[in-house]
Amino acid sequence: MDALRELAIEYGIKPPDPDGMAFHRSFLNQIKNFGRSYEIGFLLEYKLKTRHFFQDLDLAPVTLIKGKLGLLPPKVKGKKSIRKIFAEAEGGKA
Amino acid sequence: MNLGYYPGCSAEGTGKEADLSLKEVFKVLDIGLDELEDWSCCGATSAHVTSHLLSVALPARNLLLAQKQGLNELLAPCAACYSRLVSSQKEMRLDEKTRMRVEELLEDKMNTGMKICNLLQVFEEIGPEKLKDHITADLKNLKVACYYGCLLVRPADIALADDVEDPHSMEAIVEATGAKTVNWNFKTECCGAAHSIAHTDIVVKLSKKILDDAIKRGADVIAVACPMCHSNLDMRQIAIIDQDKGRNPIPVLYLTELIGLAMGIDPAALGINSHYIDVKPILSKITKREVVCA
Repeated sequence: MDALRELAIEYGIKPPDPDGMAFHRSFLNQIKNFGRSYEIGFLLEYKLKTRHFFQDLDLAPVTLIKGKLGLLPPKVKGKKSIRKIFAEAEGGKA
Repeated sequence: MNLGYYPGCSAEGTGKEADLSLKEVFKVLDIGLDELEDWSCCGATSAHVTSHLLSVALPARNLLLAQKQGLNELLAPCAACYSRLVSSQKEMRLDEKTRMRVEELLEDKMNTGMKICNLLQVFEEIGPEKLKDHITADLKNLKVACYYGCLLVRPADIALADDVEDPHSMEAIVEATGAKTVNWNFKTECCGAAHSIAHTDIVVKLSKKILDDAIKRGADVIAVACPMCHSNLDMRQIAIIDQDKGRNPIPVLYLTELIGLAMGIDPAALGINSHYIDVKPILSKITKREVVCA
């Protein structure tokens, strides 16, 4: 299944589950940019991609109060090696 | 005893109490944690559903860091991180072409023999007797449903559980704390995992079935060893209660939080105030152990 999905992405086939694909793309973009998951960045990107602006908004205040969302992006020093991995996975585009 | 420690992304956010409680419990057990320096995300789940190379190379970067740090054993308390680290290592061990491609990318040789363990395996290694030595609270009135979810049992050759269909390793750990465990049907059912954001309805439906069975079997609390499962059963329980107003909430604890409570550690230090479903109702079932003098 994962192999078929990867082939479909490679051939530019429109995903039957656009929200699911938006989730994966938004999540992986945080890893590519910051090395680790940056949850606020991920949620913003996901909402912009899907236009689901109001989803889970009721959970936002309590999640922030409980300190479950880091406000600042994570700092990973070895981002060069991570970007190299992504460049190769994306077909050699640096 | 010292262990290499790969916290995983959730330890810095939604699953911070898993990290807090693990550190508190290991302090009591006198087990040192050598955190992997400059660790990065393993890619779970998005990497392996979109790119084979990402699914192997992202965990491999961390395995290489552990190798350079001289770690012999690496604990990944997140079940998803554990699964991806072991899968990557196994694939590089069995497929020379993949290993060479990753080595070329990371500009180093990979040692594919490092021991990687999840939380259940570590507590099995510690052993129930050592755990019992540090229990100071009385949990005999607490009934626990041990939830494994998917990645602590599947794929069988990666998770290496004691039983794929009906595992008992978590029950053995929980019973060492003095708590009672319940026999239930949903311990290895899926909670919906990474669909929590894109398909919340699926997660709500699946998690509700799990919570319902735990409550039906008389459990006071569900114990988990995976931040993703915890988030679905705890945070998404709010939506489940909204849809079914009369139902009783059931708290969901990380295994290390439960062990920490049994050790008499301050609940706040274990992070139990970070839960969406209030844990306080079960604290009244935990009392100080009576000391019997000879």
